[in-house]
Amino acid sequence: MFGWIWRGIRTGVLTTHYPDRPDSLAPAFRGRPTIDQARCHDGACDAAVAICPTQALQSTPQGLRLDLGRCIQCGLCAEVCPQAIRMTPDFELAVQQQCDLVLNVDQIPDEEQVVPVARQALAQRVKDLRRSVHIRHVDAGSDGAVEQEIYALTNPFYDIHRLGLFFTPAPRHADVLLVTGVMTRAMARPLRETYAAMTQPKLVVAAGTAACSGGIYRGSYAVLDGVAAVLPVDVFIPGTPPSPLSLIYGLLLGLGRVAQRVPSQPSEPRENDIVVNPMSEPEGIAHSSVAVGEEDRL
Amino acid sequence: MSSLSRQSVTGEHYQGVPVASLRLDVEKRASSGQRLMMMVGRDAGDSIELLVAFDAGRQIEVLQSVVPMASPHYPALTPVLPAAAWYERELAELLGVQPEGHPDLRPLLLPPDWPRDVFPLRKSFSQRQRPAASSRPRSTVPVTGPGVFTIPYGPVRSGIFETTQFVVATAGEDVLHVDMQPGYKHRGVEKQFELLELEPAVLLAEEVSGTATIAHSMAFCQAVERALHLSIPPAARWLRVLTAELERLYNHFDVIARLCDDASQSVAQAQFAAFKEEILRNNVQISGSRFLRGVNQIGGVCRRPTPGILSRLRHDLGDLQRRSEDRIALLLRTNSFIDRLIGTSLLPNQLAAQFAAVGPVARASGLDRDCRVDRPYAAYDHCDWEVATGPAGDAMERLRVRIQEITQSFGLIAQALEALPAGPLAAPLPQSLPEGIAAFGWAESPRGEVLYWVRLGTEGRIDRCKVRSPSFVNWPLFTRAIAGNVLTDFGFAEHSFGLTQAGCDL
Repeated sequence: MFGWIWRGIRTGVLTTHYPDRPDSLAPAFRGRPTIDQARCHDGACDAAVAICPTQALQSTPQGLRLDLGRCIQCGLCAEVCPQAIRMTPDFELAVQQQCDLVLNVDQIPDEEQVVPVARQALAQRVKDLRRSVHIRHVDAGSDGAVEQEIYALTNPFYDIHRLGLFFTPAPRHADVLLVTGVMTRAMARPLRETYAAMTQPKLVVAAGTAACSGGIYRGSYAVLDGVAAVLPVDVFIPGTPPSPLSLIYGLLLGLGRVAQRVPSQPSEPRENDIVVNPMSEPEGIAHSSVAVGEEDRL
Repeated sequence: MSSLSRQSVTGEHYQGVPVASLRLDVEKRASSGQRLMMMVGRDAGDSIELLVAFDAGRQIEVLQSVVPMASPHYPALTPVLPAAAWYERELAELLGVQPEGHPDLRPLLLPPDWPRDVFPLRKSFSQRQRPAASSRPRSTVPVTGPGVFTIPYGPVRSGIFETTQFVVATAGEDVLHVDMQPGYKHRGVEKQFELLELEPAVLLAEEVSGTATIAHSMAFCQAVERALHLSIPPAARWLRVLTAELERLYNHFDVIARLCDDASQSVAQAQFAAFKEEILRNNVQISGSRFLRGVNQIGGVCRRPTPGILSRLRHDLGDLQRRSEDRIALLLRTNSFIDRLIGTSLLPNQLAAQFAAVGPVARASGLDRDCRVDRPYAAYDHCDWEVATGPAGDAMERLRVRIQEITQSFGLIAQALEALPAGPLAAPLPQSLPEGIAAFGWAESPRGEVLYWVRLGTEGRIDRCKVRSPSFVNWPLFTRAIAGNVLTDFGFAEHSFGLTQAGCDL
């Protein structure tokens, strides 16, 4: 007993100060690829497009197009065309709209450029749950690594309790539904039921490239190609698996506590953005009407 | 049998057997104590080829039978070999081969709404097909008696877990029976392999079970390398040992951290979780990925860490080893922790042998089984170490085996860093890949033996890739070991087995 207390004190504080102070993963970490097509020689970029195992990199008349929601950070493109493509350790990749994941290469911002949050509706919805948020995790067909990264969020290095984020087993108590995995056919119904059991306001976060698009399993007979096929997703966090820092960034992005760094694209508001302010509804009725409404929409 | 003739691969012996006498042959091998390694089915056009692979020391002995596609039936092996139960359920469901006389042919892996007459591993089924839903309710094994009720534990479970379902029958506190219903994570892995060429298929193997990236990619690569008779350069062999042991270290620390969590030992949990995090951060230096993605390629490895990174790794791991040994020694003196493990989820030696257990689970039940020694690969035949085993078979023994393996892994990493030679990292692939060649590949993951069987088709594509992870073998044993325990020990039992669902559901 005292042995553990003594060792705990002797270990000291390991915890990161992210996001108050910037943190970074090792320079070798493969995060977002950056592409400068002007520096490509001999059509090596075409070879990079051909080698991409998930068709995340595509050639369009406007130039190369990179879908972060499909990129599994394998780095093969950067090996084929090292002049133009470079893997950076950038981990702040989460976005609020699926279309923001698709980058035309010339739109990639400078490191310093910060883009304002595009969706006011989401900010409105989450304004009541900023400082004490409970997360329910559901695995919809992951490879198991992303669960370990989520579990790592509670270790002394990341300790998300300092940010007011907690995990809860009960969907009724949860504000955030954190979904991992490719979205298998078998998990569609359990996931819908979990979502329906949550009370408003609620936030759906798709964690990992697999959850954004199906990743390397895209198109498989048993896979529905990402969580967005089943639930309205509010935040997409690319990564294979997303690092704990990427997960923290994505969760805080959903809660409006950090700004989106990947440029936002103009888009029509989605149907589910128009949500009655749940605080104005009487208790009890809100629950049942939400549940019925969810079933109809899903 | 001429259509079945194969090129010879060292260490594999194929023997054609008529379907009618397959069961008798299997019974003989089972009673002589040979371990069932894997069952594979393959759509060969007008017939289905069945392979039953047995572990015969250094050699893999494979019985092969042909079942006509027009009437795909054969006498079930499960009545004479219980370890075949899940393989035969899988064959019936994915390939449509009916094992006659099988005691339990409920669906295992496909989604509950999957139509019963669509078999995804048949060649006539295209991967891009998504058949309409049909009603196929899941059924469970009935357990009746005074006061008995069942708890459906899953698919959405309490905590950060992979998805699966246990239907637990209990009369209050004691677990009477657990019926496991996996398959919620079925992603169609084996069919997905058939769409890919060899090199990108390594990336898929890395994502079969994301916490055993090295073991899965290495087993896949070694299957292809053995089929093509590729010889791997020494530097690649040692780098494979180095990364495989790093993978074992972080997984074993993860298991200890979760067991501490179950026992509410929060300081100990934080300490071991921090050790794991340190290794994941070192992994980034070596491979650019916390889970060692992008290390293996067919013929060798992709990259070699710089001497500076390797010397820092040596220093960091030396320091980590000293600290972790201190914490482990203290943990083994923490009575409130070990009291929860001693006698919990007992797996007797005989049961483990009967169901062909692998990995630390088998070794903690007295079975000396480790394919790093039994069929050495990479550079393990040049390493100096001992397989950790123990006789007791309870959660405590599984922890002890893992603790010994942590020490062994630190030693193996030191040896790899010492021995790592200069030279090329990969052998080149041959220009043309012959059609129809096949081989097994294996690797000892942190959870036990990962086994692949890969057969090449036309144009360098994969005709069939059978994946068998250790979790697929050990989950049925978990459901037997937990029976008779109290519900509050469920977490200890589950984490001491330390299995994954991703590798099982495929």
